[in-house]
Amino acid sequence: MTTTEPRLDRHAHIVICNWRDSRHPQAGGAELYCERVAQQLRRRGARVTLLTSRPRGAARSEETSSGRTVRGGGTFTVYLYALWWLLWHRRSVDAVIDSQNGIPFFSPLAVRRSTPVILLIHHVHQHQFMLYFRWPLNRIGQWLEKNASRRVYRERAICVVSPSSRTEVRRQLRLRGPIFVAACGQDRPVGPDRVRSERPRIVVVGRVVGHKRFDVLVRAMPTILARCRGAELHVVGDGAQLDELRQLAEATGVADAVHFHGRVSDEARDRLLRSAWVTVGSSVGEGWGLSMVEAAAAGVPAVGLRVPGLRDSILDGHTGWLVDEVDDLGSAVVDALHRLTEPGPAAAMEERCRAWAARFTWQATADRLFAVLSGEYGRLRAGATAPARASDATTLIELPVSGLFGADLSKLPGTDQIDFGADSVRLLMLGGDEHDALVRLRLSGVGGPVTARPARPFELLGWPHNLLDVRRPETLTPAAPA
Amino acid sequence: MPFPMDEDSMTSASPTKPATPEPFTRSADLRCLPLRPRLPDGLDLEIVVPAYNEERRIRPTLLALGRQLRDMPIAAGLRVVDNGSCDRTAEIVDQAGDIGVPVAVSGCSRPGKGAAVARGMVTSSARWVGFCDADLATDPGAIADAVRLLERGWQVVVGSRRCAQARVVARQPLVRRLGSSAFHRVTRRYTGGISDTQCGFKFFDGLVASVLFGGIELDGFAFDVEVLARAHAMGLSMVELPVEWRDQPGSTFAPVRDGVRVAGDLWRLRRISPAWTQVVA
Repeated sequence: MTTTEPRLDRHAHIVICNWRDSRHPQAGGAELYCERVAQQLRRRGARVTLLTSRPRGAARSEETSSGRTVRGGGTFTVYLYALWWLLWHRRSVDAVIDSQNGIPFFSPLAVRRSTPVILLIHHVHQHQFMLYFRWPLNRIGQWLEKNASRRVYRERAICVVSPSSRTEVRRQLRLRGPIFVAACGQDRPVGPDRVRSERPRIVVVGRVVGHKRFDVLVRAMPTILARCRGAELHVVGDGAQLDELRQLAEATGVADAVHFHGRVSDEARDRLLRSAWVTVGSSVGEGWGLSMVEAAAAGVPAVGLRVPGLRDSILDGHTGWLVDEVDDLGSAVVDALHRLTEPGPAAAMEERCRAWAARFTWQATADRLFAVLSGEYGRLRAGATAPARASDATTLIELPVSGLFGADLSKLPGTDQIDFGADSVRLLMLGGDEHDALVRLRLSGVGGPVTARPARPFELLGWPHNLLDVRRPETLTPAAPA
Repeated sequence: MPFPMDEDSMTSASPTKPATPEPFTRSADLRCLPLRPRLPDGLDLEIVVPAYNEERRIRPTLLALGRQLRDMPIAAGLRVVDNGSCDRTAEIVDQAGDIGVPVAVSGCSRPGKGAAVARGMVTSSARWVGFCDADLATDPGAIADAVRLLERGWQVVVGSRRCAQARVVARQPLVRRLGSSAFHRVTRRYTGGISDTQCGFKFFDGLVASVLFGGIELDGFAFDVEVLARAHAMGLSMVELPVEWRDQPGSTFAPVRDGVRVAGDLWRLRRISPAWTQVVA
């Protein structure tokens, strides 16, 4: 197979830097992301090293399911350790995924200039620095995340987990590199075995901490109960706010209708989720609303606030409902419960939820990151200078499958995405408008009628394949010329 | 899966590969949330609204423009040209609901207000075309006046804050006004006596617009001058229209950064301007 741009070898040695690994006592979503991506990259054939901090008692280096895990340094010194490690092993490092949790690893300083690096950002921490640190640490953190990152990463590729994070990265951090969305996968099986409870049941899953704002939901319970008799709220998860919530439920007189399960086994949690009518996202904002998609996998729609993360993981009117004001959440839940009492619409929504959740696999996430790394590899190899400012214009293209016969898709960027339907194909083209898209398609030999329009934010999500992984379809040409 | 994947990924991933997601046609409704369709053909007037990260300001602008156009006895449409926004501009336009006239969204990857406006102008098929800013600093009531002038045969109608009868309700900050005045002094020799080149409110005969904007070279905020200078060099009939203007907070124009860019653009203008006169002569 001849390609127009050099691509990263699938056996490449990929280093993933993250401040913690999943063995760490305070591991969270970012650690899960790195681990699952590492596992999937290994399945693709890559050699993966996970570079993280070393909590007390953890091995300095060990083989895990996600590859070799190398640990060193503490919460703050891990950054220095990682830089030293990368510098020392720079010859054997083929690519780096630099996962920042507020502070990036600045890996471009340590690796060779031709080594592809992805800066992976779950969400922007500028605001958190002010909340959790005092002067001068907060300012230093902000400076490292914003100004220093801009200087070190320059035109390097950035991956984010949602369109909302993409907006934050451009608006708050003003980073210049092209931004790709590599959404989180989800592990819950997408199953039809849903047993909805008799009474209207709301189930929320997550750590019971301040920014999830489960208290909003408890406070809304009297309203919900008044308009929806017999409704019950189940809170699954542990956290600092649990006692406070219990007291709040007592104080508002809804203790009978609110059940706190604490941390339960995965099976128990899934059983509860499957019995739910609806789940609720009351958080102030997330990188990605993973619990919303996990609920969707069980066929449970969500009511959420129109905040970053939730507005990405819930499709308004299709897999749930979004509201603008936190005060409207209660009545939106009531409306949702009422709508879901009708079997027809409830079943349709359930089906859409499952279809939506099925689109988020860790394999797709890892494929995406690999495609971006490969694109960076090609860019750095070719010595092409990136444009001063990458355009965020993204175009959605639809064409009949026959248009691809005889086309050479390897002439299109490997990071463009593709989805096959029964008789048509959709392409997501990054960094170009409709005009650019049509020119690129014609140059790669795509024929026939093509429709193109700017992609909406939700359309950046849920793509199963990158063009990098799709072979040239010329072998499928119905009548190949002799 | 109509097409095989790379052998590489097939062999390594197939044994434990998770279920392939449904192709979009079977879950078609997921990807068919209501979007704005294309504008119909044969419009009398199309107004282009260039937008770069305007999720907060675009909705009221569209509503105000819609209110104005709805009451006019012509077939009008609005087109938002998304200039590579990273926010929800396009989605907000989709969600703006029925505003009385057709609205469409199209894209432009070349950064700059000039590039976005030009893209809208050259791809329009309407009889008359115009553009106005996403913050709608100009009172949309002037659209009716502009159309009346176009009907009378004027080829270029230039909204102006400086000519007689113009009303500036809220003025720009002092820095902007000083810059604007210096800018005016430098550029007036190109534009043939137009008193205000920078008001984001201009209307054109459709054919004239596609010629004027077809070969435009300045992508940034100074594109107005190039357009007017070309129009002047081509000997088109131009008229100034007094408008009511209200400065809006939240402009994407950064006085220092964009000011430097504009100065660079003016330098380029100086170099490219002789070409037009030669063409016309």
